[in-house]
Amino acid sequence: MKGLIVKDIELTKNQGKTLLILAVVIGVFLEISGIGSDFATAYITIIFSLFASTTVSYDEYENGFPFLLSLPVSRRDYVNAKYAFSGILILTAWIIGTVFGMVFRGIRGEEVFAPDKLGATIGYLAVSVVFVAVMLPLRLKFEGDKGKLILPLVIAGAGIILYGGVKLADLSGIDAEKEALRILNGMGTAGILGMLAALMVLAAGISWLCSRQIMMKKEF
Amino acid sequence: MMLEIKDLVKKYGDFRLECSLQVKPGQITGLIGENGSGKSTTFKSILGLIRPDSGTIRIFGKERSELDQTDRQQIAAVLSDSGFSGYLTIRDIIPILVHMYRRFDREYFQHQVKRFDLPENKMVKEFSTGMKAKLKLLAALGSRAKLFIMDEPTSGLDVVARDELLDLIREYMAENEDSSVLISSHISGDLESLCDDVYMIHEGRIVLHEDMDTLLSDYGILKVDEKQYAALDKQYMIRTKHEAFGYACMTDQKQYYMENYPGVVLEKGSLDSVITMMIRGDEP
Repeated sequence: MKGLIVKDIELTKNQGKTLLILAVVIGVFLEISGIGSDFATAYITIIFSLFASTTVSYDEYENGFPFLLSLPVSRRDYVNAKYAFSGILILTAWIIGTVFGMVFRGIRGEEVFAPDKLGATIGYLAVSVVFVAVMLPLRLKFEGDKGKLILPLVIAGAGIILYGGVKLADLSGIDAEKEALRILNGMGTAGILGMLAALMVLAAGISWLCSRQIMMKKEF
Repeated sequence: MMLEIKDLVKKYGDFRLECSLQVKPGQITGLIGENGSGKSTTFKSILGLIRPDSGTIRIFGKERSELDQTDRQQIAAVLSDSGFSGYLTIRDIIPILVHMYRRFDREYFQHQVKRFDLPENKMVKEFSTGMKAKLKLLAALGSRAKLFIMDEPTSGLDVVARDELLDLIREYMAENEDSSVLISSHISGDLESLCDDVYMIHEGRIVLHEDMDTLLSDYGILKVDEKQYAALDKQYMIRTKHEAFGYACMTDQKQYYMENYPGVVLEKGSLDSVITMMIRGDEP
């Protein structure tokens, strides 16, 4: 399993470097243009985390899977390694994004260790985990050209669900934003963090089970 | 026995693979057949990439499903149509292999990489077909495994590159006498010069298994006209084929016909001629 994680790290060193530089440059631009003080942090965390599911494409490049699975690793090892690597990558992206936000808050003369801002970054971490949790099993299930469509479809799907939910709430006479804030305020910081932690564990757990099932059934 | 396949069956639509074969310790066993004859399906079954419909595959005396991590470390594969991601370089691949195979011989691998002038910092996707094939073989041999499964390792290579690869396998086997290789090819010359025994597969079935030395020394093709054919003793004939001049007849008792039918044209058996007769010929 360690060999597979090393493989993903080597791939990230080669391919992810450009993505990280691009994410940081865009992040700097977003900070300078004043779009939102934490938007750049969210951007770096989420975009770079997406690379975790992209490594599946590198594995399947030129029919790479048969060879990969003929190495001394099982299909279960492959799935475990992919999730372990995704965890490492998401956490690294989150730390980079958070440090980035702190540096720019310092530059702007704002409080660097602002608890509410740092709390918000946990939210970005949760979004990244959920996103990768959705992407990984889909990426393992659909290969080749179908696989390339997954990312835009998942992004579009998330937008439609969000928009649909807000619209539905509007039609029911509920102010979704106000209502969400009311619920979150009622939960308190510890409650929110607990909810996010549970969400991440649940999403990752279901995703891992689905991916394992997909890989066990596959023929190469 | 290093590898034992018994009554393996795998169906894909109209195609049905039915295969039994054995690979003994210290031997290089060849599997030869046309494209689509079932070679790759057999290899994929051995490597656990597909699920057979029935039959057993035993490696090192154990059922495939019972192999543990230590056993898996002793198996290495070379696949013609699959390899390391093209986005990795040889420099990236070394730590991966070191972590994959506990006994990975880094020194051997790096020495051979230099010997074959493979670029260490270039992405694999920029490699030529020959370079990719050499890398795959070196990675497998570097693992110091005991059983090598090589599916068309020389596919798409020119004569020189093919010879280099075959020499590498010969060198390795000379130094590691307890290792075994199951190798497939549709190029008979490759297997003729390399293998101890050979299985011939046609339309999903093993149609012949023979020691290579026996095949080359005892098999022969008799070229006879209608009259000579009628007079021939057919008990040692395996296949006959109607030709413009009369009949081509394959025997595994060349000596018998040489002694008893001195006037008959008899060509020495080669893997190519035996394959052609097994596939195109009829039972006498």
